[in-house]
Amino acid sequence: MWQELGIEPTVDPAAIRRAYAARLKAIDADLDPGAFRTLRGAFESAIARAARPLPHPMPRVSAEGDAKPEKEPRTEPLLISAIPHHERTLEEAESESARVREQVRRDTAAQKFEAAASHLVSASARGLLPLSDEEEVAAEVMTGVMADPKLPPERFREIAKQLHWDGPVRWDSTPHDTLRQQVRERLEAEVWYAEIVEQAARHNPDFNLRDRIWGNPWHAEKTAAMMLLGKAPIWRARFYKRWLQPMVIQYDRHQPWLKDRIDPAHVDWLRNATRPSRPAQKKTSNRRLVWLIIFIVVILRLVASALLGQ
Amino acid sequence: MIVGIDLGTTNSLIGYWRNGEATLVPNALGHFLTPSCVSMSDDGQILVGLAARERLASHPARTAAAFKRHMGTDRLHFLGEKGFRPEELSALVLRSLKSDAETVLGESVQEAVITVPAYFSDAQRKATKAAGELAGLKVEFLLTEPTAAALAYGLTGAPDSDEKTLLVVDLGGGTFDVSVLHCFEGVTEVRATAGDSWLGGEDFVDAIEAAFMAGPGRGAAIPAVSSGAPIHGVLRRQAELAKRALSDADEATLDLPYQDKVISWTLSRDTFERISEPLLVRLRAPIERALRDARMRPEALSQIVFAGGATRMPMFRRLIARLFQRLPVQHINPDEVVGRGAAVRAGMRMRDADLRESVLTEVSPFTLGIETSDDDAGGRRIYGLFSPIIERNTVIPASRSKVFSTIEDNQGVISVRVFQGEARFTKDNILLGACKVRVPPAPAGKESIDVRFSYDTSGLLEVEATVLSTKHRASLVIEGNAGVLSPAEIQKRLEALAKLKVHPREQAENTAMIARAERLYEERLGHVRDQVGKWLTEFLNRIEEQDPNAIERARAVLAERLDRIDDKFFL
Repeated sequence: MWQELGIEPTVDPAAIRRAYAARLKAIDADLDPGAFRTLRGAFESAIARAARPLPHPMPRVSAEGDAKPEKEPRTEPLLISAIPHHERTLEEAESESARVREQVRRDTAAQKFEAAASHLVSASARGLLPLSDEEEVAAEVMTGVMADPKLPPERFREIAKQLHWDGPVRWDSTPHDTLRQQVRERLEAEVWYAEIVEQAARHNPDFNLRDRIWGNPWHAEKTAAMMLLGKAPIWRARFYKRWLQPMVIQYDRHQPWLKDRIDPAHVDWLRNATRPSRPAQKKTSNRRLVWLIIFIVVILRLVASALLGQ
Repeated sequence: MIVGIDLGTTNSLIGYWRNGEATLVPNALGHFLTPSCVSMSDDGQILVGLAARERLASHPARTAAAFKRHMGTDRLHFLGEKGFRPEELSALVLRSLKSDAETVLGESVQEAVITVPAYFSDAQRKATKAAGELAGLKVEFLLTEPTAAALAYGLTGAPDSDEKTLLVVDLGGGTFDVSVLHCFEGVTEVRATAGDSWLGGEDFVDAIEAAFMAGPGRGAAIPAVSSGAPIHGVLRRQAELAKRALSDADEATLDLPYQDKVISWTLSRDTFERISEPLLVRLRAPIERALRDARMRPEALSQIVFAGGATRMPMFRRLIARLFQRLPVQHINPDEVVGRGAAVRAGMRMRDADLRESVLTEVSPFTLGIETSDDDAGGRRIYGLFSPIIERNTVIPASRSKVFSTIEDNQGVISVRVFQGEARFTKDNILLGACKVRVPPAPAGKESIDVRFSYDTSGLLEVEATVLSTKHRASLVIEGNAGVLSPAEIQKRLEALAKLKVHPREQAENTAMIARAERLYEERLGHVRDQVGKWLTEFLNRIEEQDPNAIERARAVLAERLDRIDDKFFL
């Protein structure tokens, strides 16, 4: 890797970039893609190694993240001339964004989350909020939403979607990654729960004892779902172990969000009904063997004593 | 000579690199911008550029515009009775640009760098390449538009300057692109790209049109847009004018002559911003994604660069300025910036001495992968899963491979279906192509193939599958999709296009003037209309006389007269 770049091992990204740039100029990526790929591979792994001790691969980010960025462009005369005369002044814009924030906060406090979300979205569409602030305000709304476990799932999904919080979280791009992750988990939990309810409600008229015992998958899923929701007798768990186990695992993953919908005591029941089955079986077979030996010994004894007695 | 071409939705430009700077080539009318419009005159001649755009209002059935939006599809645009594919129409525009460049340079132009929106898909890029071939140009390179903009600004990090991170926002006529670029030591590296290929200035015009149709249009019983009534050519032009006017003024008036009266409708800027809100909301997702993929916070960007004519809209600029708490760089005309960048890239391609120290690396805008299936926790098999091979925003040229194995016992064939997109299931992604690989029969999971994707610098993909046990290879040339022409077809169409009579370049100025007068005749009513008619007849008579000097004088007179009644001229 370092040979490819032609430098000594270093953790200085600038030095790595300099070396990469020098080598890159010597090759033509269009004509020799192979050479480019080798160089690129070396560069990427060197940068990744250099970046490891830092949270961000680019030192600028952590170094200047806290600095006030507005000042810089204002000093450039070119940019000033680019503002049309009818643009809002900075003070106006600031008071506007403060107003938006206040409004959103009030709506969130009053648990009018949809109103808060649509207010925020429309404000940001009109450019009343800076991107970095917007994440903050959206996080406030989502914190409020997450604190309300009774919120119907459809509403939850709708709000998350409106705020673009339903997408995947990649990299360490925002200070609210944990919250975003929680929102994602809750969304997943809602989807899973909706599936379970749907399965439990599925109309499934023709099943017989054979289906029950040999496990017709449709019926099995339905019954497993019903058991999880506490709507089917627990003894059936023995037939549907195979379907129940993944469901219980899924429940464990989403537990914080489903506690008030699926009775945890119920899940414990199912876990006990499904989990110990295999070791128990082994034990019974062992025990059976022991009993068999004892039985044979007793019989032999009886036979022997009978023979000897005679 | 390699030229740089910006093949835009609304306007196209051509430029070249010479003596250390990018130079744009004016067309026959002396303008840098050639409207991307093609029209067929009544005697079967092909008109390109301004003359064609003027005919959009007067001869909508014989004129095509905004065909870039349908690149990579099979949709036909009709000029009269004859249907044309988007590639062919683009080729006609490219040809006209090429002849402009040949006139100025005095040499034949064979090779070109053409720009495409960063978020153009594989099919759309191939169609652009085909358009170049149809125009008799060897397409050396497809350059993404945001990168072109950065090149035009020379923000490519001279060896002695500091490193910089730029965000380029390109809102063109039909497409929206966002790129994050990192410049250091003369290297310009695209870090991430995101976009929306269906969002641009034309959508804002659509919004105005729709608002008009819902308001005064309904009152006057104007037929719906889908009916294709000629009145919509006029309405669209009025809407375009209003959109442009609202960049400077607080309100604009649309005047639509319909059934012997003029329907006037005043659109205020606030109303325009309100009806455009759904479009503005769509601008945000690509910006956020580009930043996220580049692992950047908004504060860490050194500069924001604008490209594309639609970035002139105050609401757009305010949105960006507020989002990033700073003002964007915009001292090159946003309509020309991409064309200039293309010229710079052409210079780099020619290994020009002034540009030897700059290098450019791009990324793949989409995730590319193949279809697989897997077993879930419950033991059920899930089909149609998307398995990525080249992740989006990987630096190209890139080559990545992954090994896949059979899922059934004695499976004889593995079907490699190549997809582009970000969704988990292939049904939500775009199919690029498929091939089948024969494998020797064996138990499930025992036979595997190595699938290698190679993505070149122009964003074109090659797929190669190798069976590990037999070393049998199958490669996939992604072709034959809907919207992609095969080489044989290109040849056939090239011949067909060669047969078309293209309007002679020397007469372009006259034709544009006639088309403009005809458009004004249709737009206006009463006294003004008669006047325009009279002027036009006078001019046509002068042309019949075939005295070049007299024609030129008459043209100047007519231009001045038309300017007096038509102050809303735009490019």
